[in-house]
Amino acid sequence: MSFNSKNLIEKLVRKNLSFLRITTFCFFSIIGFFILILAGTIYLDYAKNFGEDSSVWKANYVVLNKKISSLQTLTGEKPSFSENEINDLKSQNFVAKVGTFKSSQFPVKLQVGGVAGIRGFSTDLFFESVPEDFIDVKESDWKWKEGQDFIPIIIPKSYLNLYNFGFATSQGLPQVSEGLFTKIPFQLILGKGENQKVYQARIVDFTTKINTILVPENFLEWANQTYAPLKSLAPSRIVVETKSQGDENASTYFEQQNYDINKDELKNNELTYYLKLAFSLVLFIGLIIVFAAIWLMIINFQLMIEKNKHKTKDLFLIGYNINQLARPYLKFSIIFMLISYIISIPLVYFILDIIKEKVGKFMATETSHVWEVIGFGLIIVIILFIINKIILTQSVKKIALKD
Amino acid sequence: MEIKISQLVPHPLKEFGFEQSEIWKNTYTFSSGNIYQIVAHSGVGKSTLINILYGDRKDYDGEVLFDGQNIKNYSLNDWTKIRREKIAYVFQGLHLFEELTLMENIQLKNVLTQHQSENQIIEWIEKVGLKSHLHQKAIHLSYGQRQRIAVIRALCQPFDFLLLDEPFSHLDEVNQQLLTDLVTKEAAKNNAGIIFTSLHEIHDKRLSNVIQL
Repeated sequence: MSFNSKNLIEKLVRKNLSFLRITTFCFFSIIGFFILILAGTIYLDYAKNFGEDSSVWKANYVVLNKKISSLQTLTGEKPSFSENEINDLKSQNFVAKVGTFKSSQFPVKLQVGGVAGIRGFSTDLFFESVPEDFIDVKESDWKWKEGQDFIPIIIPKSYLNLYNFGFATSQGLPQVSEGLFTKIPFQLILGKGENQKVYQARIVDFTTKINTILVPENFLEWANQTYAPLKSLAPSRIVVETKSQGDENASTYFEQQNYDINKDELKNNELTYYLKLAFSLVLFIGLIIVFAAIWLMIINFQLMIEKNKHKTKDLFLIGYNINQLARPYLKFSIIFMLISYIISIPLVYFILDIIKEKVGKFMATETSHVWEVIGFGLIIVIILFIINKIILTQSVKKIALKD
Repeated sequence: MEIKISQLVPHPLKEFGFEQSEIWKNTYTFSSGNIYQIVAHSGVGKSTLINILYGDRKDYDGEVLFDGQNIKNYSLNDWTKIRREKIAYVFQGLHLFEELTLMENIQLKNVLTQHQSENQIIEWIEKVGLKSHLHQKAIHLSYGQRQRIAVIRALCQPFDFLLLDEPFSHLDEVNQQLLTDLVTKEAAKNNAGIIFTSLHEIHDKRLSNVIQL
């Protein structure tokens, strides 16, 4: 018969493990892992929908235009802002900054070659631009110099949704993610007749705040001069940075001046704000649950050690060292954790599928890769193991040194 | 190995006071190769002394020196090493593991030290008359039987000193003789010392070095 210290100690420790206890351990660590991994994956997949939307358009912006009446349509009077009106607006208390929209005064045609199963097409287009400091995109993407053939473009996110959930589904075309959309190259044909030139263009970002196609302002100024040198128009749309969100004075002033503001936009602002608030709340509660789950797992092993207190002390007295005494608990902990981890991964995917089915219809999500989720889970296992090891070793040491 | 104590007094005794003693508040040297019988009533600190020497109690004033080294400076690892190689201990409460068999209880120590062969262990068990109980769980053995196992477990390591805390309190004359034979013979083989405590003086010419605590 052969004996070794590991087997004998494990036999002693195992003695206090009933079936009920083991299943309880497993049950709670599966719950713990499930919550941890699910929370992590959801955060990675969905959080950007709440965070990045506002990145294109800085906060506290309102876009103004004049209301269009039937009379104006008949007389052909342009609903543009005069110098005086703009100055008056600038002098208001609630206004921090005013920028005017410029729009393209020349014909624009867009062409796309067939890419990734999307059939090629061409369409007439227009551009608008606003001052640089109203836009918040990565500097390197959003840049144009004279002589540059490449033109960066920002389009409304609704266009993407229109394609993905309206056009593509009805025509049997593949749906395209935001990321893929920014990689599609297309051509722009500017001007007409003799004065015509082809440019390369790419979508660099999406906006939910303004319903127009944006190009860099310096490009539009240059292009207007080059392709439509004689035309010059007063701005018909204005973007205003207010000092605080939802200022009462602002609404009354806009009302008095008969300016139209995009009510939906304001509503959207509010909605996004509440969504963000709800999301942070859920995240906060999730963090508490996650913390509790980790705590539960650690407490479980503490309990096991506490139950074996006398044995641990006796083993220490006959010459076992702290590491040898902690080893069986660590072994059990890693086994429990790996089992829980393996069981919780498919559970997470099951729930994610359900969520995606419900949410995917109105929200474009980036699906994280299976390996990312598995890797994320493994990192959690390792971190928990290290925390557990430190705490377990300390508890064993404490028991060993107690009189 | 030499154990020297000087001005040693455990904190509980310091508070309650004690009578003249050869050990407490005194200087004494234990040398390996000799047998020391420490005799005292209960409550005078017999177990305390043994536990101090084994590194399990640190609540004392004065000094204990192992070959000139103050044991207060030993780390946990130092103590583990000492408990595997220098000092063997038969606890008063025996500290056997009830759910393990007699053999497993002994091997629990022997696998740490790899000191004795399985044959040697079985030979000892046979000598103390427990061969037929080899694979019986410790919980089913009587106190006297368990005590013999605890002694054999303690012998499964190299040692310079063997500490026994009241080994004879619950034993009859025959068993007492059996145990004395075993430990004195093994100690002599190792050229080791024995320090044991007792409520009453044991009259045996091998155990004549009596210290009044």
